Amino acid sequence: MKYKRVILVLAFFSFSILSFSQNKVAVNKESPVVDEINLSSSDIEVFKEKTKQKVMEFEQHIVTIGSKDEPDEKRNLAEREALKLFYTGATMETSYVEADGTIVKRARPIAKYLSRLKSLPYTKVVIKFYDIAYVTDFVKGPDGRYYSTATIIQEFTGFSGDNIIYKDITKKEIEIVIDLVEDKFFNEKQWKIFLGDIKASETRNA
Amino acid sequence: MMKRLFIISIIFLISNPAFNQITDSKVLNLFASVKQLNELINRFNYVSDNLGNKLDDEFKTVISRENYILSLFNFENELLNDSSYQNTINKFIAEVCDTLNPLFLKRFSEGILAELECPVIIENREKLITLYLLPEIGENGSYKWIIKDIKTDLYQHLEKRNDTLVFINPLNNETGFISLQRIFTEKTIPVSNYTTDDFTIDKLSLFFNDIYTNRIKFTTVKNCTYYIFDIDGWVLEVEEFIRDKKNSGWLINNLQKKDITVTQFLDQLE
Repeated sequence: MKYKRVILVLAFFSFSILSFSQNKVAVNKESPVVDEINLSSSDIEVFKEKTKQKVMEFEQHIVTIGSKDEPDEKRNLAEREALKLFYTGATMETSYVEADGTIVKRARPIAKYLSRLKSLPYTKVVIKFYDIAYVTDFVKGPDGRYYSTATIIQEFTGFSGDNIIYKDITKKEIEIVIDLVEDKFFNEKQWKIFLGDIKASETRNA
Repeated sequence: MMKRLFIISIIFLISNPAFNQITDSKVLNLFASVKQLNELINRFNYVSDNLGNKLDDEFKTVISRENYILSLFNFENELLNDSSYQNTINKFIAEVCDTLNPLFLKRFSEGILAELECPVIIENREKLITLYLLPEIGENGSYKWIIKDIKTDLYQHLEKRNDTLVFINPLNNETGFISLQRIFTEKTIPVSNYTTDDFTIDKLSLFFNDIYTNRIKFTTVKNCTYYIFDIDGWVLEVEEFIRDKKNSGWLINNLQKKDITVTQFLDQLE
């Protein structure tokens, strides 16, 4: 019941955002791409919901990329689509629990992480995401963009045949950016959500 | 008080239907933890739950704001066994939850100081430095963090020494200040001894230069402690506790009755 209500609300606000975009951000061709336009608090609440959608989209791509049962073409497509969600220069921090319990962390550019995810040394990889744990309030940066952070919880399982070789649960923090982007086709500006750096804040052996 | 805190934590968890579907206790604990500073602030302000959902009347009937704030403290701090510290917490909560004049933390405030413990590599050795960052609110309501100060002994050798009397002699000008050659090559006496009485080295600028010239390599942020000054007369110290328990994440680890500004607090760290 709760999810039905969420979907209805999302559908309503998606429509109203389009209206907002067409009525309020149509500017002349000589305007700079980033204008000083403020989001209202109700718009920000809408974007909080859209952020959850965007993060879930990313999670779905990760599941596909990591799954060796999926055809290569589908995994490659998911890799390309996942990359489009990110801001240029974003990094992904991964973590691994060693046998002695120490946690090793490493940050890589998103493209490298996604590529590496396809070729992990397991016969099977299962990645599971739980419901988004938290999305912070959006705050405006000096560049006019709006910033937030989403917390997600990921369960990673690596198999060799039918045996689980490695399993962990990681809490991750994803940087979220709302940017005013020029849509050249419609000659107008629209707010768009991008994902940024991802930090592995906590990892536990499962 | 500890029993009360434990009961609070269980009550508020089981009241959230989202937890009904999760069977893994590790995952449950991650959901229950205070995942971000923003979450701690919203919980403190009695605005949202651990999933970011707005608190409804049903929740407020089960858990009062007093108990909700209490659940944001680090239960494993031994200070909680001290009755005078317990009284301090009770006094603080009573003041903050006063029905006539309730007090709140600002969601984006300049009254927060972030103290970061960071390992750096210098001459192939790892050393710890402490950076202090402050938020800054712009005229258009924008928000950003700025690097305010550094605490390190990396530049101790440049600090003024009070145990020695050195100076540029009063008629050194007549010899074209020739002694500067010796002053700038001698390593035993800091050059700062030849400056004004109130001269202090700017460690932050020195650190930036060392980073820029690759003499120092920054690795990561190892620990972060927040000091919150939003409630007049009080300082909240918030740290992250990574443990497989519901009472985990960003928690208030120390509460001090102290009338001090962020600037005064920074000055006293020197």
